[in-house]
Amino acid sequence: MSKRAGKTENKKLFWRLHHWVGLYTGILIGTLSLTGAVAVFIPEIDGWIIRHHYNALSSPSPHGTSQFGQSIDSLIHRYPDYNSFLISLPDHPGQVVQADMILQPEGGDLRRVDFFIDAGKDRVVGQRDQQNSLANYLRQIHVRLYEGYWGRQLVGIGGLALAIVAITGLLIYGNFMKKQGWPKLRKTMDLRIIMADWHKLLGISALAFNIVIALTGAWLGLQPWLMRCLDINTPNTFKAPIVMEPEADKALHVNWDDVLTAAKREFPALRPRQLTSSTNGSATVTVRGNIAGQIYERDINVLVLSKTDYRPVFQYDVRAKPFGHKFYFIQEAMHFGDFGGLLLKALYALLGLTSGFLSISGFVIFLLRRQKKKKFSRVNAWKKTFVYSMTVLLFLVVIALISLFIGYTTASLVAGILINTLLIGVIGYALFRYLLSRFNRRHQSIA
Amino acid sequence: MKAAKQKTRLQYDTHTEHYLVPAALFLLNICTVHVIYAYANARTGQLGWLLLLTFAWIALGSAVWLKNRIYLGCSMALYLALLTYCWL
Repeated sequence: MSKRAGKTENKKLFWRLHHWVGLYTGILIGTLSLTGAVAVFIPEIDGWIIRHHYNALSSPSPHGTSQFGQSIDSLIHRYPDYNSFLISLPDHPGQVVQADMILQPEGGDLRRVDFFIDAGKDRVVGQRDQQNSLANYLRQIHVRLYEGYWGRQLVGIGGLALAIVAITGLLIYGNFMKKQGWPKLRKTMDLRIIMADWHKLLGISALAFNIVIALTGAWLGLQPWLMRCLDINTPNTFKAPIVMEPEADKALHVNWDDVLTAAKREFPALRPRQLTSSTNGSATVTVRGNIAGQIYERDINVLVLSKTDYRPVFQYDVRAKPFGHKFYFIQEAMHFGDFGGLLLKALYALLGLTSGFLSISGFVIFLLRRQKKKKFSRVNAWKKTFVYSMTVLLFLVVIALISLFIGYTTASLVAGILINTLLIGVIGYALFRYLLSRFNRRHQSIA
Repeated sequence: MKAAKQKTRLQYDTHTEHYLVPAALFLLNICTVHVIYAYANARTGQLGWLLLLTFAWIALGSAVWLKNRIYLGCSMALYLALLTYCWL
């Protein structure tokens, strides 16, 4: 085979990959694009809901620092059977301190409750069921499509598919542009050409962004599988030795002001955001937080202090760690774009929506091209696209309503049934088409 | 002679449109995120760095628009140099 013929064969292969991978995963990519564009604003949306729906605000603190020790003590006293709790410190003045407690009432199921604490007056001003909150819906629908078994892996496969269509799209870009310059749109009334021009224009303009989103998304989605298969451990894990009975550990009083002072002394660059107290007998307090100006996942820097004298037991400063650790922790930040303020999030949302547009425009181009071969009207192509898009939106809205008003478990069950039925349907359809084409080819060759 | 010249010009344009412009757009994506990050996390004494990054962003953006081969190459080289400097 000549060099030129080989190149043409390669282009055909890339085109086929782009076409089939895009067609079968387009609906998944579109859904993830839409949910992802909203998911980047989860902290802002949640902050707004806490402030306006729950009327939970912090008054100015007389000491200039967040006060929450008495409220935590009263919550521990009120719920002595709690499993664990996590204190989230406010990012901005006026925001409440949140105490996320996992409660297990006698004979009841585990419950995760968020308590809102006025950080100026040190008193509990509200609470909510964490699992049924909008913030949890927005995160879970993007991270695992609300499907508990392999939803996360399915999202990872979506990321992998986006990477394949983005890279193959780049490889066939030249062939499809021919003598057309960027960013020229051909003047025509042919809808297929209009959609094709926008598909190429937006695809190549947001290519790097989509590749980064796709690869980091693939890693984050497939992370549990990959970490198990490749024997990778989370780099900042630390297991403190058990030094006392769990009940005695729970009973130890923690002075949170002293904890924050010790954190400032031992790890000055750390901006504490999360605090936890051990309940397993290790008698430790863990402070997690960020270092200003670093592009890493939130709250990965860790300082573990002894509960008795607040001396450091373990410290994890990502700046001092090898490349592997930094690479591991950069994935989520690169995926959600929470390292450059609100403007960067807006850019992420805008560019993230391009992959949704590309799936829709790609599907329209496919249908309009097919209408040339088969006899169905142009209206049918648009109708089909509209029905698919509305079905996705309906799915997202129904799951949101069930999750908010009935509960996370029911929403997860409904989503699981719908997604798995759809998955079996798509795989079955693809298999049926493949077998049918093989049968037809064989039949023709015999004839 | 004229046909050969036309062919060269056509090849030149194809090379720019099919390879240099996509490459510059690729870097422009990264540069845009980089500039926003730099401004959001700027500390005192970093004005020079911010100006240099902004200049690289403007250079890349205008090079994609003007599609001059040398300008595209230079702007890409400038931003790649700045990006390499960040990692060192």
